[in-house]
Amino acid sequence: MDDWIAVGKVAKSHGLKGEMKLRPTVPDPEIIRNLSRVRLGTEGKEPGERIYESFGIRGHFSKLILKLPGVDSVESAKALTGQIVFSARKDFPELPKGEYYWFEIIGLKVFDEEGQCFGEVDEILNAGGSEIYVVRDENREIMLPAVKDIIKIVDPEQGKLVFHRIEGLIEDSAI
Amino acid sequence: MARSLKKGPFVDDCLAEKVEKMNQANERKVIKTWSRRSTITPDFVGHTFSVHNGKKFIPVFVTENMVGHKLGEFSPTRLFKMHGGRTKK
Repeated sequence: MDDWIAVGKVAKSHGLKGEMKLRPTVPDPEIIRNLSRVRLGTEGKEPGERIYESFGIRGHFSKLILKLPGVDSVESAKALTGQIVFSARKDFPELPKGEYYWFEIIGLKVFDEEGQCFGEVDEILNAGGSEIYVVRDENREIMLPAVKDIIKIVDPEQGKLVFHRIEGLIEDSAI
Repeated sequence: MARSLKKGPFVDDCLAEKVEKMNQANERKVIKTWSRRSTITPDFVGHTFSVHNGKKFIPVFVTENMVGHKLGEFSPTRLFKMHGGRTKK
């Protein structure tokens, strides 16, 4: 079975023919351009059963217009406002070695080189220079800059991320 | 108006001293700082700073292309949460 990843949200209806404004939740236009199958659903739940294959997307990346088959009136478009658009994992473009999508990183268990576990990657922040992995467990939070000098191994298959611990990097802070 | 070239880049003295000491000892430790106003000089490259954003410390690993910018530029005070696109190790 395919994995389905949220790529956008239906913002509101557009015009009278059932078109909808799509607000992408991914910053990479390449992902939206490669969409071939989508499903709709609500956040935090499994997407709906119906898979839309022959749909249309037009417009600039920041102002996309989505047209789904079977949604032909402004009323039916309005009914879908707030729905999350999911895309199949298989349709995402392949990345060069050493690059990962956010959904491959989030949820990885984080270990230092001595094997001590620090929790899971819970969030990825963009701090201007590099991305920062926010690692949380029950009672602490640590931040790791996503650079080669710190992050040594990323293994999404084994669900594991290993980092090089330098003095002062681990600062316990209660959530 | 831009800062006069005659003055050179501004770096807080305490921070410059710490970096110099660590460079002499060839050490790599995270330097905790509140000095967001300090300019990143070539001496800082390869060091990791923990820069305060008003609430918590954000780790900043300094690379060559950050030289000339201020430390505060890499420790955002407002974070817009969105799914990431791709991430490099």
